[in-house]
Amino acid sequence: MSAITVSFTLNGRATTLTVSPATTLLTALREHAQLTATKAGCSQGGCGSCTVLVNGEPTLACLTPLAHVEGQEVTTLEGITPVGGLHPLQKAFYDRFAAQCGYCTPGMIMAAKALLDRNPHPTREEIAAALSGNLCRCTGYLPILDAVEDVARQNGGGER
Amino acid sequence: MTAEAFHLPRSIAEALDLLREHGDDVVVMTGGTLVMSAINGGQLFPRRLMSLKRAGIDQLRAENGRFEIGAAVTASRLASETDLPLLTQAAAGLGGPALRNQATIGGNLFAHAPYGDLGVALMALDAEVELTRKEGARTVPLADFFANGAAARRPDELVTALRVPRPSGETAWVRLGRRQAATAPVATAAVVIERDADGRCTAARIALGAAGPAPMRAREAEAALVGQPLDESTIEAAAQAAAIGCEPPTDALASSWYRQQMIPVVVRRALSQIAAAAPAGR
Repeated sequence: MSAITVSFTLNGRATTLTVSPATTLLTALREHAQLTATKAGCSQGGCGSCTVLVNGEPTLACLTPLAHVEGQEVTTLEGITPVGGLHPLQKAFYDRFAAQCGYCTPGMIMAAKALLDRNPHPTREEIAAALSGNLCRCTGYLPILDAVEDVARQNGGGER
Repeated sequence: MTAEAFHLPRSIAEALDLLREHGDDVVVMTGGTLVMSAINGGQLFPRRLMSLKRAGIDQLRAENGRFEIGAAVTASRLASETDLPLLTQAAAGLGGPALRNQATIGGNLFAHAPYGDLGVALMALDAEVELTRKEGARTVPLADFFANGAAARRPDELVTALRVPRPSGETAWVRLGRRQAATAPVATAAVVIERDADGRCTAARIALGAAGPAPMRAREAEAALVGQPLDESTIEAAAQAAAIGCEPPTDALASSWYRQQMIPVVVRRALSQIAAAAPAGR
């Protein structure tokens, strides 16, 4: 069996994984690093539930060969969740009931985090555009937009 | 069968060596959005994978009114770092933000219909594609590249860059989807029109997406425009002519029949947009 070894920073920790050559970042996270917050949805790049950050940019883990993250910085939902607490986005999703089945939530939160890191005070339209690659089949999206707007407001944003 | 190797060459020279050494055994990708989804979907079982992501072909340069765009430039970068009409519009409408961070201009030329909007924009812009093999590079018009199908690229060649002139006329981009974002097109039209002082069309390029196996030029529609003013009857004639010779794909979003009906619609909308804008130079 051939294998490749890939070293990268995973949620702030130097990590080395040895996997079969075509392994995706998604499989590596879930089955090799035992980080299961990142979800496998369509595995075709159509649903966004596997969204993680690579060097701060939203990235579809299902379409990323692990080999591509050699030397890069990968952040998953586990990486932004404080021990024993919640990230402001997680708290806002909870308060707004922005998750029903919850399957899309990790991808939604990572896509939203990428937006807020770049643009702390987005408009509702900018939030919708940033989340346009993430499907939710439960909520109808409005509570999700509300939750991200709440955090944008906590960031000291305008009245919106 | 699982892949035996993943090659991540650090230069095009290294990539070309690997391609020559392993031939048909190696499947080439860049962002991974097409190849990895085909692997995930059980449609592709490569012996070897080679990614051009680190092969040094991600430069983006503007010189003498032309853009030289490395094959590994992502859709996100096209949307934010170029100001070419049609191409920035196509790039900004591709998938969602995460997909745009991965999908590349070179890779998108190999998308199967109905995907491949970047190629549609590039074709209307009269772009050329650079193909590189060990002995050197050659440049072919993108229209020929698409028209020749699998024969367009020799087995030992890689797509390394696109050369895109800035259009001199007016442009319109119309993409019809079942929803506004992150969906394959039902039909796409990219149009470049040049008009003289009397408002007559002197040149027209219309490229269609989701109308056949690859992006294609609507030559009969273009012929219906040249020499004519951009009025309602000319637009209608061109819109109807655009559907001639199209063989749109069927997928879960739209049937071939439905796409065929929508081709005149997107062309009509694109031409009407241009007609409604003030003619250039007046």
